[in-house]
Amino acid sequence: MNRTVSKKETQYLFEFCRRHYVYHYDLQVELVDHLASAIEKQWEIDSELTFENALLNSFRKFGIHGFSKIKEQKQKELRKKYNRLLWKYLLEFFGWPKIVMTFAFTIVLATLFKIVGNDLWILVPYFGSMTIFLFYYYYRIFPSKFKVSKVKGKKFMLLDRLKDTQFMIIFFTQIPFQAFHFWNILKLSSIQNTAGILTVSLLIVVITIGIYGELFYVPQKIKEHFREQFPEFAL
Amino acid sequence: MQKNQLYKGSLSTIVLKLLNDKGKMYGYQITREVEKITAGQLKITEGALYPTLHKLEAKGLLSVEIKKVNNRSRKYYFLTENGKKETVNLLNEMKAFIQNMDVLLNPKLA
Repeated sequence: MNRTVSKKETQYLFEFCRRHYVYHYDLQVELVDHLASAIEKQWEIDSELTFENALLNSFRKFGIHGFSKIKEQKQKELRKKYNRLLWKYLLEFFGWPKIVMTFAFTIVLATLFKIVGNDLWILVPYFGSMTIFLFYYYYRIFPSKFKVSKVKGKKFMLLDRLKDTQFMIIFFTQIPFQAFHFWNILKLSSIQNTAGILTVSLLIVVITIGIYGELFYVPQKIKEHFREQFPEFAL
Repeated sequence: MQKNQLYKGSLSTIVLKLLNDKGKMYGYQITREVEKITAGQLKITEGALYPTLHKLEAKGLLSVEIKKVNNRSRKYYFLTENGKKETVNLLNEMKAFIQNMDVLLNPKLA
């Protein structure tokens, strides 16, 4: 019977990953299994080889960058994954028949702009309350709903990166405020023509739909992926 | 090894093809299998394999399943439906590439 990596040695491998700056359990699990499998393979040839030496031999194969390149690449790929999910959601949303809803909202908003006259009466309360809501969402709703910081004492990159992506939306909503400055430069106190009103209304509706997708659709999908991969940690 | 540079761009295709043939596989098993099939001629480094697996997973071409093996969790990768379609496309591309290279390297003189 070939020697296998014990429970205590497995724990040591997790510690080894942490010492090499891999703090997320979803990545640790994979690296620990890889190192353990490589160690066991060496024991098949030389059962007298110490665990420490076998580990060193296995780790050396990861090259001069060690785990850092793998970690960076995974973070990059996760960001792309969230973006892909958001695009998928937006394409679904702007497909038939939901697109009708988008235009209906746009027309309602454009009519409001016409009635109210001063655009700031709509824009400032809307984006102001949106920013307040986003802060509330980020600090209250999101942590309680998704418990991303630690699940059963473990950190997961799949969830951790999501939190960073969500924070970016707060900055995203500031774009319309910056647009005000632009209008001021052009000395336009209000959006006067119908095409302008419709464009701004459509932009606001699309931004709102995008924010909704980023806040609710993407986390829900990630939650499903997480549940599939780590059922024992199901959120 | 210099010759491994030639394989770098084909790593995704190699991984997808292996998973297509073998079903579920874990990282270490993939490196061993490639070494075995090519009789040690091709060695996939850990630093190249995992980013490729994570990229394919993020693209939705691979899915993951975790199982308990020898006191530890093991992450198995397998092809999704999209992954199966993409494998067929990439293999066709690869075959065409090999044929073209063959024509270029061994031109038939009239």
